Amino acid sequence: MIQVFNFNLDKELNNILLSYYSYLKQNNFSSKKSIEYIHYILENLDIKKYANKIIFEKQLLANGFFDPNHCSITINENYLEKMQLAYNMNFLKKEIIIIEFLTLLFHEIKHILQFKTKTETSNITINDILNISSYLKQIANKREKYFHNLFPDEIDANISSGLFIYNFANQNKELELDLENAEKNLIYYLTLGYITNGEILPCSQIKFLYHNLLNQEFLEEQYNLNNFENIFYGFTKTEEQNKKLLKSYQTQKLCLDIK
Amino acid sequence: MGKKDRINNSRNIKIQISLSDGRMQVQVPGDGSTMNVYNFENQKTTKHSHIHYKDENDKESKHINRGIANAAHTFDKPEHPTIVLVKSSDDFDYKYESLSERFISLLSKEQLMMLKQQLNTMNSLNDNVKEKEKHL
Repeated sequence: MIQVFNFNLDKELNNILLSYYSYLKQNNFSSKKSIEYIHYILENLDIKKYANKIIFEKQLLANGFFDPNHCSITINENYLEKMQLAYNMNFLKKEIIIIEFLTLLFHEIKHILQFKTKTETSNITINDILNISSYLKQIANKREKYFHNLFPDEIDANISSGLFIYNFANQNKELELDLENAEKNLIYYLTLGYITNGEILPCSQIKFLYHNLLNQEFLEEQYNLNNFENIFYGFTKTEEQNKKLLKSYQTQKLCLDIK
Repeated sequence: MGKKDRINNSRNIKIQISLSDGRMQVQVPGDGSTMNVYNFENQKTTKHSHIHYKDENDKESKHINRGIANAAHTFDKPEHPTIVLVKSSDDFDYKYESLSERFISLLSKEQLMMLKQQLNTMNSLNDNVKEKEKHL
């Protein structure tokens, strides 16, 4: 079992999120108070030393990113404004927009936790996987958008954040957080890049990247991952897992037990 | 800044010894420990010179299966490139907007068209304001 720093929805964090959620229903994502909430979350997760700046930036080319050199998380305000516009036009419910925002926020927070894992633990396996992921990103053709969702650290951040928000919605059903959409959100990230147009990638995500970027075979046997970790880091999944993932994708109902 | 420079900066490690098998022994900042890593710059210019990136304008080449098939034909002997030391992701340009696919997936085509129209209107209003500010 690999020890990694992860989100743990304990009572205190749950309370912060409950309060934050109520606040977001009536207020802007980029308000001063909202940024204060994000700081509380970072403090609760004990990662403030890795990210003590929260920036909302309109000129960002991505929806968000974590910069370890400047200890900052940057969120694309333009993206949030587009969602707000869709809300103003009655296309989206506020709850859905909050799910999107929180998933984006916790995606970046997961990158901080990955960085913390790399920095504070001596676990060779997880450090290897995260380092390989960084290396593959460097050599990837930057014009090729498709690869981005297949890098192990991105898969981990996508699924972890989607799962975290789903668990939060599940634990606080009285909130009307739209559990159904939180579930669809999780399924979207569980299958992103791996299942396209109803077809499963013919090999694991990491093998696919090695084939395409290095022209080499990735030897998964060197890494002793369990069934859950195989999903989180894009390694080869069991036949049963593939069936359940595909069924989740087709039915938009979670058919897979993941942590 | 060239790609090579960026990679050198991002590593931020002290190279100690070049090993005969193409690897380097490097010192990790902080704890001072050493580890063996492959010299990827050499690999990229020699060992991996056959790697070809797909043309982004060629829609067919983006197909997953074809990508795999192409790669399979040009396989060298399997070799695991082992450990890499990249401590930050600052040299990755983050131009990908794939996460917004989820946002797009929430809207119907009609809604997207209306939203696009609305955004265009807002952009042109913004441009008009900027143009007026220029003349003030």
